[in-house]
Amino acid sequence: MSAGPFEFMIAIGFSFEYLLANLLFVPFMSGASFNGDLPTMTFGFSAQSDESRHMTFGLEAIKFLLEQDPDNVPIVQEWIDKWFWRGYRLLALVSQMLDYMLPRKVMSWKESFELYFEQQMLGGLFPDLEYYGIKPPRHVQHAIGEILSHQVYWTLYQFSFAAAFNTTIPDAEHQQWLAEQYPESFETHYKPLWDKARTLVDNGDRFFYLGLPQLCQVCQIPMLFTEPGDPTTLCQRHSIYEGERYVMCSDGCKWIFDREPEKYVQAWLPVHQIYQGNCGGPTVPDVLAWYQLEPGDSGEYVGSQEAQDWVTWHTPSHAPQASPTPVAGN
Amino acid sequence: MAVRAIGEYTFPSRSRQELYGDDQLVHVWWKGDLWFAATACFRAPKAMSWNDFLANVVYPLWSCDPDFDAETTKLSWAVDETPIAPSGEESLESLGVGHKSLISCQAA
Repeated sequence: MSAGPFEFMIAIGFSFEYLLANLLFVPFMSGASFNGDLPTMTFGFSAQSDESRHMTFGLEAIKFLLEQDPDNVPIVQEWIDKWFWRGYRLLALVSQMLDYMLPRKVMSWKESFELYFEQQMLGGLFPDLEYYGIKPPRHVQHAIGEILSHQVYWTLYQFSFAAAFNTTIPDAEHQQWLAEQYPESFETHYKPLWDKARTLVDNGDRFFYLGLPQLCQVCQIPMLFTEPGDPTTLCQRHSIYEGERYVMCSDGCKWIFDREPEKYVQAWLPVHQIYQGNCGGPTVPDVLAWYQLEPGDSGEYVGSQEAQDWVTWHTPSHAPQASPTPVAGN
Repeated sequence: MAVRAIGEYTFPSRSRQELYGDDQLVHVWWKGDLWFAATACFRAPKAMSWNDFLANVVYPLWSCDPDFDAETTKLSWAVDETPIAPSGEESLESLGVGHKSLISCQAA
């Protein structure tokens, strides 16, 4: 979805690796390590050394492009605007992982964003780039706030039957932590939803969204994001292009669509494809089979194979052996 | 604004209406209630009556909300932000619902 090697460098080397990847790698790998997931941590450290090289490329590439010709400045600025927003949307998954999925918390998404983005990028890098005429990414103000992780996990909770992982209601201690980390939003907007979900569970039921969500034409994420400054109203944007209506989740995604509609009309949106009959069949079990999901891969965490494994692995008698048997030839 | 390309760059929409025959995609949004975390997307015949659409397409999803009661929950409706007051027998098409339209409702 980039327009060639230069946009690609700004997309990956700069906007993702430089601006946003610390938000992925540092809290993600710290979280893995803090929770005893050593394979992920090892993979993460290895990827991180690769990533620091990409960061160096990205910064050199952007400075080179900006220094070559002042006419490059508005072009590069638009690429930053576009790819910041696309990367930020992708990191929605990391936000809920930090705040909801780790059994032992490392730091909140809000704290990570403040440190790795607001302080290091908006406070450090962009003042340096101002010399070239580069401004902070368009729509960055819509990325700051307390709401992202809650909206994403609440969505994953109710679509968990098709998520390829298990979700559950945060327990009382976890909710207390969320309330402390998110004093302006959790108890007002999200705790009431969990309380209602809990009542269902107490009555022997479990809330699943028995349907398919509307998707954003650009980020392809379900339309779960709310209006800037109004966490109670879902954000709906649309554009008409060659007589067809296209739906976007935010001003950021709409700006990206309107800039290059020819690219995004081709999007292969899973929900639309399911309804065309291209994903195994018309029912949820047909589609899950087509995605090769097995029973137990998805759904409620409590009582799942995942939950049993977690308990088994944390039972002292199951501690890893001191040294695995070496494999001949290694 | 258009894409800048070195050659012809024209591709059809992968979600265009003709791929759905006599049906179309319809989005339904219950405004101001976040129990359903995201707006819904359904496939429904253009000629389907409003009552059939509610009873057979929308309510099965909404029954996942323990507070929803089709008899007592009073809602006001809009299609693509234009208010509508359906009596029930009209087709979706005659109510102005097009492909990928947004049907929204609010507690009346």
